[in-house]
Amino acid sequence: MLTIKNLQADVEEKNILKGLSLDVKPGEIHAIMGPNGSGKSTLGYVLSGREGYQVSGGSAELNGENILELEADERAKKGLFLAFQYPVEIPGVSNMEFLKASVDATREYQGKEALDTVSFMKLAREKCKAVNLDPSFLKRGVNEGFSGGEKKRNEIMQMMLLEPSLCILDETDSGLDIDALQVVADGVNACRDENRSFIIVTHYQRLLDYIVPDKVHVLSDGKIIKSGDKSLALELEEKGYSWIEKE
Amino acid sequence: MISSSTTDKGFLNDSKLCEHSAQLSNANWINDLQQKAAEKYLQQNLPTRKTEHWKYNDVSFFKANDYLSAEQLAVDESLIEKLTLEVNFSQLIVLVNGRLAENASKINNDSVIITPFESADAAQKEYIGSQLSDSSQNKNLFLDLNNAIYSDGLLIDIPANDTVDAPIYILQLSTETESSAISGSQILVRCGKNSNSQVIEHFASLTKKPLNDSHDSSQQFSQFHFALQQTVIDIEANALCTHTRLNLEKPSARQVSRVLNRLERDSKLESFYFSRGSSLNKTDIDVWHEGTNSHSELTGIYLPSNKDTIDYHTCIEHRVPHCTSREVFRGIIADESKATFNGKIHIFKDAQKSDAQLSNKNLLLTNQAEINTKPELEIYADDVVCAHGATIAKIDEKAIYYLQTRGINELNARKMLSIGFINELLVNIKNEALMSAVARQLEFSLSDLNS
Repeated sequence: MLTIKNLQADVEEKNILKGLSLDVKPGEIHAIMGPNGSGKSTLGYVLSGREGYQVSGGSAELNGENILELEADERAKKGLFLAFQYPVEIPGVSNMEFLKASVDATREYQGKEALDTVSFMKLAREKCKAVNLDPSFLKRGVNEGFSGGEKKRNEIMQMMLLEPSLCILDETDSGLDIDALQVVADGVNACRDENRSFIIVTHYQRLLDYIVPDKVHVLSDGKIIKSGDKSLALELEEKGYSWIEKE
Repeated sequence: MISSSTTDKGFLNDSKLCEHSAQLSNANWINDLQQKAAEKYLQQNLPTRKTEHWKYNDVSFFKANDYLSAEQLAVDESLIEKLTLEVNFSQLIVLVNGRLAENASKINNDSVIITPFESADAAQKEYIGSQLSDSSQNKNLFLDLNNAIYSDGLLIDIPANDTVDAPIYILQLSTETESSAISGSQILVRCGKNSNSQVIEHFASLTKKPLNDSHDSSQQFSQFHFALQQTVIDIEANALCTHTRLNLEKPSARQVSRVLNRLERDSKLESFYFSRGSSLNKTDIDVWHEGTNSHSELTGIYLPSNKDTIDYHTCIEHRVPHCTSREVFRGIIADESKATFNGKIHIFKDAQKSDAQLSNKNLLLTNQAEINTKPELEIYADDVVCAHGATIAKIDEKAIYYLQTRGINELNARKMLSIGFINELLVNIKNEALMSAVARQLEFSLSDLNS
């Protein structure tokens, strides 16, 4: 699914990722944990193609294809999805209009038949319900005036609509109360299948109680310094990061 | 397609302008008014870049002595059908270079009465005379020139207590000309007591070549009549007037114009302005709250591109107590174009309990685009609520990235954000057909901007 080899990336000429390697197989869930400033969010931005995030070495292949040269929208259309830690508010563009444009562009690229407006609305309302968002949110500006939890649920709703093959969740759990966390986790679990993989970036072990990862990695100073199974997350919760960094 | 019927040429230099103005009409009372306006015009100097009101406009092209007044032209009806927006109207008034094109107009005088100044009766003459003298201003000499040279002044009378379901559509065309020619236009709208009416003013350019819908730059070098124009909307007690004014001319068109709105007791004005700019496109908008408890709403969208300019000078005068005004203008400025927005709120000494709000937001699409925005408050009463603000921003690159990560390509993302910036103002057009027509114009202009 996703193969990252020795990835190095700079932001404003500062080296952030310093040789990161990761292999995510279809259907797997990988959790990435790590202290502040270790490069967790940068990984999501680099993979999704944000401007200003310069790749200085290494490779990243999605389904066997190098994605690092592609525009952000092309990567998305090839099945990469990034759920933002801080989703952007876009006043004036309605959520519905945005989602329709997004789904239309993706389906067209993937050679799928376009959805007519009625079927799309039906689908969008269904997905809203699945993440416990009132359908009236579809009429509002994209994320405009949404609470933190509503924004995150809106991200998961988009993920469900776009049916990506690789989902990167960037601290989707931060700032969520327990109920919202449950909704997000249910959303992710509902999307799980053998052909869809997840990278879950988080600070806390709590989310991993709901979404059980196949692998847990510790990212520190731009590199993965330790990998293990879900028990590693519990160990981190107990002992913090410093013991690994010392190893 | 276009045929010339009559001609009346007159040079606009010092000695001849008064003479010209004094014999434009068959009616002496009009000639007298025009001659006075000519005298006032001649007392003023042409503005330079140092003249505050003209600071951001270049009128150096104007050499009074070179100008001819407009010829009367007949236009094809089928052409008019293509040009008008898809909106039902109750009456259609077509003016070509300020001259009434009767064959192309559809004037029925069923309830709303349209009267050329020349056929005004005694009461109407008195009304026209007083409106024109009241509306006189001292900052824009081209409006004085307009008052001196217009040929077919029109009085549109909406009878008291009348509700006009479909809009009165006024289409004003400027034609291409080989010489430097100027046209004047004078429209008075009287909204009678308790009446409810809609007025659409649509300005367009007429090329000699077959009609081409695009606002492209290949037409850049054609020359159109220099269009001067004034519309006065006088809203009597408890009346509502919905006014839409669309400037959809070609890039090389030039227009200097003014809209004066006078609001009497308990009356309401809802107006919407849209312009995509041209080499000179200047509109002064005055709103005079003259009767208590009157309410005005001004909405405006401007979308200049290439090297076009747009200038809106608005002035809301709260002359009496208990009036409310709401003004929102937004612009998207592309390429090397330039926009000027000056929004003044003037609260007179006795106008207590005035409530005025003004907002102007601008989106600059390039580093070469220019916006000059200036909100101005002059408040002489002490118990008022006044809010004003202006912002200038660029497209949010974070939002572009966000849309891209959802599969929307950069070009479409930019277009979505541009439309999103002004979209919410469109709901202020309550006539649905008109709203869709304006939305189409918007999309059309924006697809130009982003390509």
